[in-house]
Amino acid sequence: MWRFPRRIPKSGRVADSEDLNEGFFPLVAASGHLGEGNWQDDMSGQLNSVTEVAAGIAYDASFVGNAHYAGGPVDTAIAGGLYGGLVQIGSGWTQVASATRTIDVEVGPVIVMASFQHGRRRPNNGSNEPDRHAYVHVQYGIRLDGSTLPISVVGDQDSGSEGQAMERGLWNYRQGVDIFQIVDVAPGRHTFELVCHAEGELGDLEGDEDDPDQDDFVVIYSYELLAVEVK
Amino acid sequence: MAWDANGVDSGLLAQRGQSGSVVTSDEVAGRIVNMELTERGTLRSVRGPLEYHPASWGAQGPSATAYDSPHLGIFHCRTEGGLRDILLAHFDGGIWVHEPWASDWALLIGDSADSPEISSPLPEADGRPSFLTQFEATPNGVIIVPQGARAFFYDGSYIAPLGFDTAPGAPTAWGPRVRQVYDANGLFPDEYDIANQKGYAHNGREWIKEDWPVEWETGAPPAVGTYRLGSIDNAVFSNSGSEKLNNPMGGVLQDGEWRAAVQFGDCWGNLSPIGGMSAPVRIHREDNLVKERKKDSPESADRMRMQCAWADLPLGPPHTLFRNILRTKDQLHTDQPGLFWLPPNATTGGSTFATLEDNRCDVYPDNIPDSWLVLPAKQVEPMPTFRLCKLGFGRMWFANTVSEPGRVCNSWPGMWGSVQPDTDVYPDATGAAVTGIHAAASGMLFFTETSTYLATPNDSGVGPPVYRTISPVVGCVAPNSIKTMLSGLTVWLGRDGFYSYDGNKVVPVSEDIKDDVLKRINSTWRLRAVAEVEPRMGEYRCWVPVDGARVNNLCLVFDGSRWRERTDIKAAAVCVTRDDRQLMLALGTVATTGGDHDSVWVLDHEAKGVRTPSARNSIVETSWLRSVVSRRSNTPTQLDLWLRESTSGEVTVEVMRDWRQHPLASGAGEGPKLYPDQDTPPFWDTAVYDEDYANPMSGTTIPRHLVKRRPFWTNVALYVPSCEAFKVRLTYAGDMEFVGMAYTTQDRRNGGASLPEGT
Repeated sequence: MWRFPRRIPKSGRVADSEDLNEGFFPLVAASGHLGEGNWQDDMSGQLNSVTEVAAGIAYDASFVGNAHYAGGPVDTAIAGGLYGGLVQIGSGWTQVASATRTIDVEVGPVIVMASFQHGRRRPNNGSNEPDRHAYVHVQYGIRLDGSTLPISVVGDQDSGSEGQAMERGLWNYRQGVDIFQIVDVAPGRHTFELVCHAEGELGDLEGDEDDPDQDDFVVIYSYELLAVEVK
Repeated sequence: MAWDANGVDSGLLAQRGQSGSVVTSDEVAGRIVNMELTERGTLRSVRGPLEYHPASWGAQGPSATAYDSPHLGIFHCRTEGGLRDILLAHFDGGIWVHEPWASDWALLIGDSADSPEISSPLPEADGRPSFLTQFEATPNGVIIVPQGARAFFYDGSYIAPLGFDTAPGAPTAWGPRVRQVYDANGLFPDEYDIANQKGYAHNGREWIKEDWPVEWETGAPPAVGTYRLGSIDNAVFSNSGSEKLNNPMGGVLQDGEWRAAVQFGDCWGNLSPIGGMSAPVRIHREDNLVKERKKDSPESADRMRMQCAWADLPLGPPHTLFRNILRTKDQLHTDQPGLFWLPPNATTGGSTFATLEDNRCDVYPDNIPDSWLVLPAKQVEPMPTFRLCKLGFGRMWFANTVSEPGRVCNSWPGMWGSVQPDTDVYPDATGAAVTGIHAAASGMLFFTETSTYLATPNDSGVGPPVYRTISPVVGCVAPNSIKTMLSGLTVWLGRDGFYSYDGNKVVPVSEDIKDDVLKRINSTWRLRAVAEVEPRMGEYRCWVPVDGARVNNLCLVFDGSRWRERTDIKAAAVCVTRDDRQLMLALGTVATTGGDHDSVWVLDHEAKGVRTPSARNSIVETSWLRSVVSRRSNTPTQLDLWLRESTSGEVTVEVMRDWRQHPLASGAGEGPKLYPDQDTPPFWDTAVYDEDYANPMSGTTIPRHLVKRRPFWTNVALYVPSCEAFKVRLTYAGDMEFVGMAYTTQDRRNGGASLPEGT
């Protein structure tokens, strides 16, 4: 699957249909809906923008506007530093930063692919308390023209003990997340967004709004969102 | 331009492999590093690697698996008809299984303090040179062979030692004894000894006989009927007594002896060696023909048959699932010596698979007659501590045991943990240690460091395989370097280079890299060289330790005729997943932007992982190119490069002359572009796909769309005046695709005069 693509679109690389196809072929085989006949060397992918967000997404006000706190560097060990933001509890489905793609579809279907890093940061309160984490469950999905596609949702909303949360939700400290969806849409202009949704007990996201270092927050970084019409 | 008019053009040079030889074809490069062969026949920069399962976030995360060294093995297979995916790796002092559902690795074998599934020391962590941990897939699980320790078997849910390395103890025999009648002064004068009346004495005679209190001690309840043990001779005349009573069903219970042994079994059907033999149960002669027995009516001789019992049954090690009791027939009367499987019931049940379907009880009453013993016991040897194993001919082959490094033996068919007796062979006449086993197309290959043997099935269909020497001088030094390419060619690392076997003979295949690569291999640690065959292009890739390294720090790639190098990972161990993905996974160290990082990596794949590999040079370096007019100095003037558009960067061109490795000129920052200048392709991150695009070649305007990358020509001006030989090196830290090159040289001209020439 796309989890291990052979080559990914990268800044400065020729936008190559072959490389993209190579990454998609396993998906095609698994889905059973599309075959090689759907894939051509000069596949027409009408993308309104394929601008890559380089070196991880920069902090984006529109995303963090829904949140309490704008995150700082998450891991300085990573080149360029990665920035993220807090996901607000119970905020409903929220667009991740500016993760949106609008595409004019002639026939369809459309392949939507999102990949990103999901992570958490615990409070830097100096106490070195390794277990001080909120019980928060985060889901991600694709929103098509304002409606989240249920089948695209990854993550778990099952609340429960900490152990369950650790095992079942998108909870672990850093995970690569991939969302794939092949969507049949009517001809016309459609907008795809990467959205997230966080649930937890009130106050689970501990911390002090006035002291960012005390926040325990979910971060999303290095995302890519791609929508390609297959013709 | 005069240069052009007098220039001599080379043909197209499409180098795909390298050679360190002084004398070589221009078609062979001097060095090709981090370039892989594509399906289109070009060379493209190696991509990735990508972390398979990132270790947790260091100090900020919860305690989680860190891929600490030593790195000693990685293996993937599937069981249960493909339903169970098993990925195993040996790192951080333990052998781990990947549990993607838990998003972590679970410790299978390791130190008891780390709560493994099975606690066992893994001796190879002592740092001394030893083979890598061996893994061998079977249809129902994996054999795991830590070097110097017992082998294990793992089926995806349960792990246990492979087979049994010890035999059970002997059971205690419970049987009848002779009743001897004593009083305080000795034998009663009016009494006499009675056979089979004491001890564990049970027969089918009358249950209560008030006037003969002796017999109720041994008799069976009427519902039981008779017992079954004992040989009866009915071919004797009934004996009439003074009261004219006779016994037409009478007979003689003959002297008999029975012995038993125990054999353990595990949940995969492996058997232990047969245990020690018990003392005999003895039944003494007895008859019911004589008047003195005071039979009121005729008594069947069958009533004299007895039962016995086997006690103190040994308990097996924890992975014992069942125990079989094996018993002789009446040793004094049978012509079938040996042990037979003792069925657990009088009638065979559908679920019956063992005498004792437990590892708990310690006494077993035995009422099975000799006539029911039809299944001879299966002889099994103790499982040795071995270093190598391989599946072949439906059996598991074990080699290089700790006590006998030159020994090879094999299991019973289908019973991977049960060593068949009398299968020992010592392929090498001098007893040298076996250093490799491999199932090749024509049979099993066995290697020592200096010899190679082939075992083929016996033509008769039975009996041991036939061994023959393939090479008395070439062997294998690294068991994990032996792989068969898609072409059927088996390749391995020998003492002085790589060799291949095509089904007929052993031939060297690495002459080209003997000088510049093979000499650098660390001979102490080469026994951990590891190879895999890349499933897409069928390349043989072998990681070796060079330049004094103790870990494999250079990958040599063999495509069946030519060699290349890779430096993307220091791979301690490598495997290819046996599923649709066919990912090549490597356990090792990669230089990342955050420093060297140990992990399990997916080779030849890339993504935005947690860690990004550092920029890595891809290099195509020609061999020493000489004048196309032989033995005369000349002047290279132009290099034509045939590339395939890939990146918005520029390739660095360096030129060396006259056998010196120092670049005469370096074109960093000034080299030819990796895309056609006149017709720029769309680049990711800058192209907007719904904008119109005017094609400069056709003049038409079309919307931007994804395209298949095109090959193109570009050139570089060279000026290496009057050189004897020159060399060109192309370097790019990124994505480059190389098709071929050509060069133009200017011959030295003498103006038409016929003059003696110097050098």
